[in-house]
Amino acid sequence: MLRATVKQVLRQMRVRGVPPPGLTEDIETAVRECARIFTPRRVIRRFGWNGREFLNGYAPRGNDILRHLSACESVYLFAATLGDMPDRECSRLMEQGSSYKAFMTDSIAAVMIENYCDDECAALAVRESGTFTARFSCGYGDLPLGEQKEICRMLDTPRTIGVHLSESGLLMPQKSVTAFIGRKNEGNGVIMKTCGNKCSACDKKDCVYRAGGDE
Amino acid sequence: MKKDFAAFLKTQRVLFDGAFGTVLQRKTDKIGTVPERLNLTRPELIAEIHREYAAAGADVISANTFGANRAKAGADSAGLITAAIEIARSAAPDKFIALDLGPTGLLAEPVGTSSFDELYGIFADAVKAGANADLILVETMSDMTELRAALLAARENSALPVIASMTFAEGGRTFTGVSPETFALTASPLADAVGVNCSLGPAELLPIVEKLVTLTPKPVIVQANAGLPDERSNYAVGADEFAEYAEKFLALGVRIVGGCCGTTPEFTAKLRRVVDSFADKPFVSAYVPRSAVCSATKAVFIDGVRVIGERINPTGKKAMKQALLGGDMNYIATQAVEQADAGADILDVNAGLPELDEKTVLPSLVRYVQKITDLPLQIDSSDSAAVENALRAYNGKAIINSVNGEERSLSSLLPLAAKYGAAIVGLTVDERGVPETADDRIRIAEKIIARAAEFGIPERDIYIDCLTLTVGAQQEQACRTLEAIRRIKAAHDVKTVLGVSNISFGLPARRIINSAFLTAALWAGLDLPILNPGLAENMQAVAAYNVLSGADKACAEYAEKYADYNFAVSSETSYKKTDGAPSEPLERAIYKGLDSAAAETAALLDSGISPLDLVNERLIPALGKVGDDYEKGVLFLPSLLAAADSAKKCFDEVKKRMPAATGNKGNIVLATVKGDVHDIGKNIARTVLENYGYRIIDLGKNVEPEAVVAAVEKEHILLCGLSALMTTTVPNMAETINLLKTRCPYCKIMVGGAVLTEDYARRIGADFYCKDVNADVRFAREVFGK
Repeated sequence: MLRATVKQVLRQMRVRGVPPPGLTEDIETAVRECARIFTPRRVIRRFGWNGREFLNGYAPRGNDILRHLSACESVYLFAATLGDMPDRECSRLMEQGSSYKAFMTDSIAAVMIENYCDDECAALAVRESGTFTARFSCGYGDLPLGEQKEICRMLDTPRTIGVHLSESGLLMPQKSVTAFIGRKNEGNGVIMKTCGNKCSACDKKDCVYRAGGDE
Repeated sequence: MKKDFAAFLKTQRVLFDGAFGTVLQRKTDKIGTVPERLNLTRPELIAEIHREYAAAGADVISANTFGANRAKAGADSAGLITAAIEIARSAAPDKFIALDLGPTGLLAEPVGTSSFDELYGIFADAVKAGANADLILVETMSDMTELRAALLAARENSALPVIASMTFAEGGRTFTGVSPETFALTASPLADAVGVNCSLGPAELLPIVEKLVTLTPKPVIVQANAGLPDERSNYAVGADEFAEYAEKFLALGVRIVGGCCGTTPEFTAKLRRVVDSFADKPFVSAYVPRSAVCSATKAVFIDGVRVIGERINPTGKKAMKQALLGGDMNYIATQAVEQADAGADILDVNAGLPELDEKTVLPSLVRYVQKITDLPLQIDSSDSAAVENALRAYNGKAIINSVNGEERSLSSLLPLAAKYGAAIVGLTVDERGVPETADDRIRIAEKIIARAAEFGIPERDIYIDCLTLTVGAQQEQACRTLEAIRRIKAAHDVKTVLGVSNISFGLPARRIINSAFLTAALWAGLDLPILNPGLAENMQAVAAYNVLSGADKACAEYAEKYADYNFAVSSETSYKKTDGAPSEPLERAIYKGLDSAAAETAALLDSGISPLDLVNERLIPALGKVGDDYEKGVLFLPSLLAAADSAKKCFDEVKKRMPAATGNKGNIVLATVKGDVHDIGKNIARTVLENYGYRIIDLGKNVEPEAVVAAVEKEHILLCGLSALMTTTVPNMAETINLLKTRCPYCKIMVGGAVLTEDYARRIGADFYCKDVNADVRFAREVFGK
């Protein structure tokens, strides 16, 4: 079940303080509708890892990902999507002059995909024993967006979940995520907490979406 | 040596081989990114797998060409394909060899960036390279545009039999929402066999197959996966269970079975025994012929009254004519959505104006409308070039409106209907002119039906239009039309279609006559009324008919629809009173983003306020107050947008009375740059800027730098807005700016997008950095001075 709280959506819509009357109810209605029409899917595969690169020879670029996956015995590649309905709905609403609803739908979808990824990663940890890292996506730290190409190829995302990568590195449908997840053998379905939250690890300090520490 | 697969399929059940990819992975892990390259580097390995499947008893060997198209394999594509077919041919000389065409890996518009033509070109090249195969298997398709591109490429570049197979997800639809119904309706005319493969195991596919065999007259193919893979790529279903399901499929009437991912020669051997056990059993067909049309995601069965919305047609509609001439797609979008919301089942689209090049505009209109709504479309044109282009663009099974009894019309349009599998409206008029009697109408109808039959078009795909003549001019014709409808339905399996509003031309209180005629026609057997669903009495007539004829079981739909009939329905959210909101009703409604602002505007205009005064003294300042409060942080973006939406409806009211009142403070070109499809920011900017009185030329998303320059040059544009949301596409923004600065130095450039900063914007040469939509308005004012 896809989920999004009003608080998360308000933050995504960059509304601070007390929301204007009616907005909360509109968000609740829209969240229900979005959960009904979006079609989430994910694909997760486990690959051998020698501490620096995958056993098939693929070595992701950047120092942050290596640090993240250090001491892991295997690495899971993860890809998830809400399907094509968010793109189609936003476009349709915009075209018919409902920019308010389009913006709300887009914001809810942005929240839902992250929550969906969180839930799927938690379920993975329960299914497989061991200790898992938090998921690490391209664009985090110094992991270039270009690494998505290999992830999508190794997971065959067009065929498994209908996610394509454009030449410019854009995932299509837009509300899609790819990530690396590392696993150590000991432990039982634990997900390691990274220091601080996702935003604190990132350099873009003037990002309008930067979390205030409650993520 | 080539073999006749079509003849074999006619009399035999067929066994395809099993998975290639998963078997290859078990034999070697040196596969690389393009497995088809092994056709050149390890042909003996490829041949080995083919031999194993041939020995296991497969009738058809799929050549190793699944990903060999040029989008995935590059320039080597043709060479890899010819090598693959040669290898298969020599490894299995007495088997049928299939050219196996998988997806290109590109995603079609509008969610992706690839056009139908681009996809068609890729498949056409692959088909030509694979000319030495015995048949073409188009498989693992999940997108209707890509499927159609592949099937048409196969049909138009080869005489080989073509099989169409789609991949369905657990919800019973493909990733892009294609259903078994829309797949069967669209693909059956374009292929020799249709079916499903991949993604799901046989148990999960069974319900889909049970549906599919009732939906197509063509032989059905099923190639399931060996169950669903786990995270370690292990497939759960074994060969025995797989074979059990194959037996179920064959008993349902499936004619071709095989295996997809996770299956092996062991599976094929077991399937061989199952297929052989059906050898003396006659073919079973579960097909139920039904009259239907569809879009990519919605099928409409004509087994009751189905309303065709008539509004997207410039004939006699000034606003629509202006919209088409001016490229005002938003107006067209609202018409499409309003008709759908009012209960239309199908939408008519017509771009017939002398000023327009119909053969380019009609397909564009079709592409646009099918993005906005999932209702099937009726392509309204008699120009065969326009109709063909529109059919190619149309992602489903369309209606062509129309042919008539003249040979010229029949011979130019019936072949198109047959080729693309469209339904066709037959107008009962011919070279002798408009018929006087019911007999004449029937005669022409039967001529059309007979001619269509020569092209293989069944009666259920023919919709006869018995013509509505003006009762004021030819009073007796109303009854003749009704009689013709009754008789043609009694004598044939056709459906009937009719536009009703012409009946009352020249009379007062037209809607009274229209409504009565519509009701009479429905009782005479009219299936597809063409009307304006926004007029309440039209949908009321249909609803009442459905109750009285028994179509609306237990009157349930009627009871629900009209339960609150006497009460005014307020359609927008209830914002409670807030401080800070203006007190005047119009300004308050805009500030709070209410739809009632439009009614307020209409009332004010009716009371005599000049449109120009209303715009300049009420609407613009109202928006200004919203913008100011947004800047102060009193209102946030959602409220700004709700106000903008509300204001737009007010401006639409003004435009209805005085198209020029909203004026034009200046023309602005907006675009999301090449490689980027994030456009919500740009669209928000467009909405707000339009409300402030600027004319926006919106080039859309993924726009080439040259296209931006061309648009700016064309009208000597003074302000251009560019958006980009990814670090990888910002260079394209820089390139666009450079080109603009060189070719159009008079044009100022503003940029926006979460990935940008003031600093970076300056560095790439932009004149303005927009951190939010208010900044856009400020810069526009600076550039245009108003």
